[in-house]
Amino acid sequence: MKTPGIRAKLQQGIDRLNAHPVGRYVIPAVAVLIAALVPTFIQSNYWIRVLDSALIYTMMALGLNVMLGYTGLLNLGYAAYFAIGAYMWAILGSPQYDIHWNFWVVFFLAGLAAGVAAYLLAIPGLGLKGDYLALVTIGFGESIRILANNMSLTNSAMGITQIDPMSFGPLKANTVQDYYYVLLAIIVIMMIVFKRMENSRIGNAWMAIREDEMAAESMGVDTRNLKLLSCFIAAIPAGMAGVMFAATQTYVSPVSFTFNESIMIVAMVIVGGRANVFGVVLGGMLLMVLPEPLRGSFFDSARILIYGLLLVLMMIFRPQGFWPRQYRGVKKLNGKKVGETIEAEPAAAGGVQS
Amino acid sequence: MDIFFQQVINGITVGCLYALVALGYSMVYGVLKMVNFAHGELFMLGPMFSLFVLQAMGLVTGRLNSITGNPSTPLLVGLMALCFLVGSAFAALIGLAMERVVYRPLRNRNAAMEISMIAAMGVSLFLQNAAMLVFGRLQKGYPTMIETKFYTVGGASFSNIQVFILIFVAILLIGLSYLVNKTYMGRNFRAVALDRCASGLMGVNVNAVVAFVFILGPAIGAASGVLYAMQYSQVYYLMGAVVGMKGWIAAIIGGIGNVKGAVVGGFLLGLFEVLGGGYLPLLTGGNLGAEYRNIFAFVMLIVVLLVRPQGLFGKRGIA
Repeated sequence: MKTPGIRAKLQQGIDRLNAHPVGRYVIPAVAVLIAALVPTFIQSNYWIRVLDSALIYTMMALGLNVMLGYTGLLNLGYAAYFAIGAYMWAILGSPQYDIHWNFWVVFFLAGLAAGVAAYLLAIPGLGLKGDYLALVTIGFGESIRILANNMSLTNSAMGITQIDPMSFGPLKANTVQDYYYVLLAIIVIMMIVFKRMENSRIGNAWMAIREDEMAAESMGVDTRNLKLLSCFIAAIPAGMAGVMFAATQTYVSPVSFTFNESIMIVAMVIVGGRANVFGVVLGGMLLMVLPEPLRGSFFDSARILIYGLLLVLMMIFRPQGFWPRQYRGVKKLNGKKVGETIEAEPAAAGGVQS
Repeated sequence: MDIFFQQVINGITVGCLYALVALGYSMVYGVLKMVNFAHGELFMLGPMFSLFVLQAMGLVTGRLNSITGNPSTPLLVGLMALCFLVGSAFAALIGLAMERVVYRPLRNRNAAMEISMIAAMGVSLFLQNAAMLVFGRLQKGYPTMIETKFYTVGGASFSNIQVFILIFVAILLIGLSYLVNKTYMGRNFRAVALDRCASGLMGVNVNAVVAFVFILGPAIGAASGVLYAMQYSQVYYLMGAVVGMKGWIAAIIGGIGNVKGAVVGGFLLGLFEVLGGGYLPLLTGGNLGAEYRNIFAFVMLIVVLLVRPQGLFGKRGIA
């Protein structure tokens, strides 16, 4: 019999801290406070701008986590929902058509539009197998980009300029710091919402689908509708992030919504830790901020190559991510760690056949 | 009518190449029940590497990388064969390495589908960008080898390269169908595709079959890449991404995992896309142009998934 090693002891400590009010409320509150004070430490507007775009991408990573992390559905055209949001604000809040709607109305409308698009797309995509959804979403991502590149509504490849900034009634956001505080608040709200969703019946059902769809279905989980719901909810943050993106950049064009953007968001979720909101936020911030000092060097052109390599290595050696979710109760199933996702032995591959 | 015949000829040529790429996806899917995302990159690496070899041997000159001097016909045929062999061998090597280093550990762990898909996507990004760093990020000329001649029959014209592609693909398909249906290895392949676990119990060496698929699929993919590069006389590190996706769509249209379906799906997709791209500007009075061509494949995919999700030749109910 082995005595518990340092890892197991550390794990015990983490478990105890997670259960304690200090771990549950005080530490996150302190972390948010530190994050809120960042603009007073960092004077450079450049770095705050970097953090702004990192937070926007983190919003999307949190959204994609619903599909990829909880339900185990791969979406490779996630940037399309981002584009839908960005173009909505570009069209409804710019001199292009001289329409200037209220920012927050468009913010929620864009979330809804992205969600509906994802829902409709998932109907044919979920048809038979998960890998069809991946292909359908790639195709959708490309189609949205091609449309944006050619339609006169989106001013084709030129893009739309002079987009209105974020505003609260008469107050307009002028500095990168304003955006930072608002984005931080959005991220915190999203983390709370998703954390609660994770532990709800719906969240448990999603994770049951991911671990073993057939078993979940036989336990009475409505797998099809729950998967559609997961696609719908996952896309909402992307639409909202698109509106924030258009407002911070004041310019949108089709080049901001390529396949590489979709890949990057997938990488954030995978590297950070699937199904754990803290891990996803960590992954998002790491992947957006770390490459920044390398801009212009050789590593900049090799960035996507490094992402690719990172994805492969993560899948082989640590598929659960750097900061994986802690599962309550059952830690192992069929001799495998829960969360590493056990493949349901399909009948076609020689499983149990009645 | 002339335009119609012209479009049909072009569609069949494109369809041939899609069919070959779709075969690679379908074969891997048949055996491993996974989509090998990186297949499009093998399509690109074939012509890329063969051009690299030609350059290293000093056989090409100029910005268009045309063959140096005025070579005789036998020499050209030899060079063409060299391109196919070198490209296919290189792609097969990469394919085999990919299987050994990435897919086999995942398979042994019985990893979930989305995990192997993300890994495959990582491999694809890695190969694509490695090609960009090694071979350069600009489009490069590719030697056409055959002097292009056009024939006109009943108002539609076609080039000798198109004829060559058709004959080449026909020979490849006949050879492949012989290999799959009449040989010992082919029988093992069919057994593993039917039921991996049971064929392993019956004494089929599953790993050998998988290795065979990862040699054959990439080799065929690379050969179609060389054909593609010859027809459009250029290579580009991103060329595999678009064609790879089309091949995947073609495989699903035909019924993924089904060799016959992949071929039919490829031809259908090529025809539909070229006809659609050709007629859309005419029908809409120029409002919607040929740039929407790439959306056609996607629309076709959605329609097939809604109407017949198992594909044209797929069987219903296979999970």
